[in-house]
Amino acid sequence: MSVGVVEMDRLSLTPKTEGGTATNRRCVKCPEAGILSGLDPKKAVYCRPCFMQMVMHKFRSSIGRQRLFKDGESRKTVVIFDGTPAAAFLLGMIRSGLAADAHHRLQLDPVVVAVVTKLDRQEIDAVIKRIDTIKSYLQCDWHIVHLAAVLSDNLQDLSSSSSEICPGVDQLDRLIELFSSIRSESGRSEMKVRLRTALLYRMTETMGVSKMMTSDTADRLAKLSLSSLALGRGAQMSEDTAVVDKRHPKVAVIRPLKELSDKEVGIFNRFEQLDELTVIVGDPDRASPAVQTITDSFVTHLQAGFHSTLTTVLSSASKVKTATTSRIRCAFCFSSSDDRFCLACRGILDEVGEPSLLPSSLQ
Amino acid sequence: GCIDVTIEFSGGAELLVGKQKIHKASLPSNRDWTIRSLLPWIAEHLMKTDRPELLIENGTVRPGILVLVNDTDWELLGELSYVIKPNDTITFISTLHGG
Repeated sequence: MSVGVVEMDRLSLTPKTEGGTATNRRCVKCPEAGILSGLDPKKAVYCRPCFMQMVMHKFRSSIGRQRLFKDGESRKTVVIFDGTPAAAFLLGMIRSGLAADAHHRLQLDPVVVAVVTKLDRQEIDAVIKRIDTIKSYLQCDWHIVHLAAVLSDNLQDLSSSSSEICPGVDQLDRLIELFSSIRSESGRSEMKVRLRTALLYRMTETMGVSKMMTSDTADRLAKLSLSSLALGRGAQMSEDTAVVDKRHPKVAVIRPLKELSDKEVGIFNRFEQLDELTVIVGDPDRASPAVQTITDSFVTHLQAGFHSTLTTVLSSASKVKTATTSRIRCAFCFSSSDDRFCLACRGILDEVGEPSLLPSSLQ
Repeated sequence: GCIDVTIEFSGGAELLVGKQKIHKASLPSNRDWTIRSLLPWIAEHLMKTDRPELLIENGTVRPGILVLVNDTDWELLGELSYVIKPNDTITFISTLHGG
């Protein structure tokens, strides 16, 4: 398949309301009927063009507000693509932002890094083929890497486009063995998140780039902050959910979708056909319970009945910080630590039955 | 006679109905149709998985799956109680996505 051109700005700003069924409510921005809502249907409702504008504005203002790309500083930014609807949305926002006129142009030079986490070689090949078709949507450098690359001691060839095979696939068996040696499902899930983050930090740093952009939405961050809290990462809640996260000495993590919900992204993608850019890069969660999957389900269900759930969790998380900050940084997650590893990472590393399978930097 | 409606799936929800995004359905007109009564019909006639709970949970749409009726948020239309009319388009968008 080829990814068609999406004329986002023209479509989204069409003045006339298209379709919709009467709701007896008015758009909060214009005299048209209100047919779409954000997180809380009892609050603001919008007509379709104003809804699309509201969503785009949230993205643009999250970046503009942070003055992330001040004059003189490099605009090169690694954009993490994980195949989710939110990642597809992020590609759409970047492409639209780069195509805008000078006044509104997104001041960013993207390098996309797609991370594959499937563990079956045939499925990995299928995912790579799919990502290859998505590449044409955003014209810039793309790098596809497997999570197992984090086990490689040298990362220099990761950003080399001359390589024929997907970097990291040569370490696949070791990664599978590593996961098998972790005692609990929660531990495996946590290890996957930590290894992925460690890989992205290393890659971004190796490429000489100081900024990394993720597509974490409000839903994703709220769920992550609660499950991380349960795993002993309360001290990291504020950093884990910040729009700009600077705990790593050389790489800042940018989360421009923090104030966007999966609902808003899902509706936006539906209207702009951005779902064409999605791919499932990882294996489905296993049937056995884990802190992460139970937390995800809990938050999703609570949000359905109590529409302030996500915003309340995130506003609380942003206030949770340590009273003091040590100068020592954890060698795994780079958070403040009293030792080589923070207590939470020490806990996850202790769950590994075969430490020799870990990257040498973590042994 | 029948009530003709379009049922759409996107955001990954199409994986539950044989990867077909658009379904033209003819509902028997010998009864009133609401979203509530449409769900078991979908489970019986469209779903290709033996796990209907991926779409339908406790008689309603599973949280995390959005519903639009003619591109309008069903939360503004009474959700399960919305009375379906001929030529309506009902869209299910999944925000639950493994990564």
